[in-house]
Amino acid sequence: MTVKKRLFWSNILMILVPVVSATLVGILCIVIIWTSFIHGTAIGVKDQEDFDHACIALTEIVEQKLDFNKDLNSLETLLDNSEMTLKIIKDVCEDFNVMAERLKESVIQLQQQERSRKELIAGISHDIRSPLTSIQAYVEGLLDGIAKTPETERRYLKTIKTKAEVLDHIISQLFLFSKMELGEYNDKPCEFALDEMIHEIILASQEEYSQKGLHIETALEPFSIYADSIHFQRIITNIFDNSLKYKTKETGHMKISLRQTTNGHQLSFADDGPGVPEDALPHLFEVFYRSDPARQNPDKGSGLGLAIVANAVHQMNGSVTALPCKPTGLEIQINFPSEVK
Amino acid sequence: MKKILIIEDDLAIAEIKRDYLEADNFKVDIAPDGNSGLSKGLHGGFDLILLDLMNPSEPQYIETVWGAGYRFRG
Repeated sequence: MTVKKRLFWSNILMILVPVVSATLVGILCIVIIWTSFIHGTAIGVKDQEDFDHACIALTEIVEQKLDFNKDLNSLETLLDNSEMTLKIIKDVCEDFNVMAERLKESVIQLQQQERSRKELIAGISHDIRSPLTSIQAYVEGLLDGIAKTPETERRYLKTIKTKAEVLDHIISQLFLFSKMELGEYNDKPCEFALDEMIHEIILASQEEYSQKGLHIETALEPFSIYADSIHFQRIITNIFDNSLKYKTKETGHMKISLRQTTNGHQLSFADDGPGVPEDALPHLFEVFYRSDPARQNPDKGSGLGLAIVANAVHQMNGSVTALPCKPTGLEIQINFPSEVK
Repeated sequence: MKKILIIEDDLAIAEIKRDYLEADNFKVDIAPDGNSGLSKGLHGGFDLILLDLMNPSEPQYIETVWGAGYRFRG
């Protein structure tokens, strides 16, 4: 090929290549725009009036959709009359809606957390102040010489001691609870036979409990669990103490059963005490929750006992629920999934 | 001797109040809850009733005792 011919072809190609590629890109663009018109990723408007219609409709849709699930039929008709499609707007609105709902949920959750934090502080203040007031009053009584006989003096000192113990108990429970909440409680799990441990605890404390009027019966199937045994002792004694605190009759009974279920093991503590109103049951494991709204008697507990139980059970991957007993009483059920073992 | 009734659910607090008042030569009775407080208050011929208003356990009794106040001096 001569130099002249080569020059000729290269000149032609220099013109042809850009022209062809520009045409291809142009066609591609037209196709994309056309399909988007057809499938409605954009709204085609013919004139100003149509555009206004579309704007009004869009605003209305967004408002209505945010107003949670009002139906869109009337607006669809409006837009259909203007030969427009609603599809994409609808999708966007629905996404928006879901987002709004999620936002709402998280706001509610935050508010709940904030409320329970405030309740916690109010609860702590109340429960610490009551025994402290007694201590102050009795110390002042001693200083003022109100206790005239040695017996009264002794009674005063005893009251001070009891109230100081109550205070100490509340504070140590609180300390333990906050450590658990912060995840700073170092549990030392090991495998142990749960049924044997329960028997041991009962054996050690049976006399004390029956003196206080709580009789304990057991029906335990053998079950080994991998957990922190001190934690477990705490669960059990907290439940016993709870039952003891709220019993109204002279003697109360508690039945403990441990048995295999279809998907794990169930440990149940059922007493014949006064029980808890149905609507209070789900809140029983909340911090400082007491089914009697009075919290009149902080001696009855720190308000943390069952919250600690729930926390400890959750750390063991178990779940805990409260149920009413018939005719009266409260049952606390702890379920462990089989894989805990 | 003047008679005073203490309606108070916290026994320790009620007792220390009693001891203070007795040291000042009052005759004192304690009612631990609203029901007994109301009946004692109505029939006991007390000169003064000390009522724990902050007790939220029985708001209705507080109102009753409060409302019945004028009847207590029988």
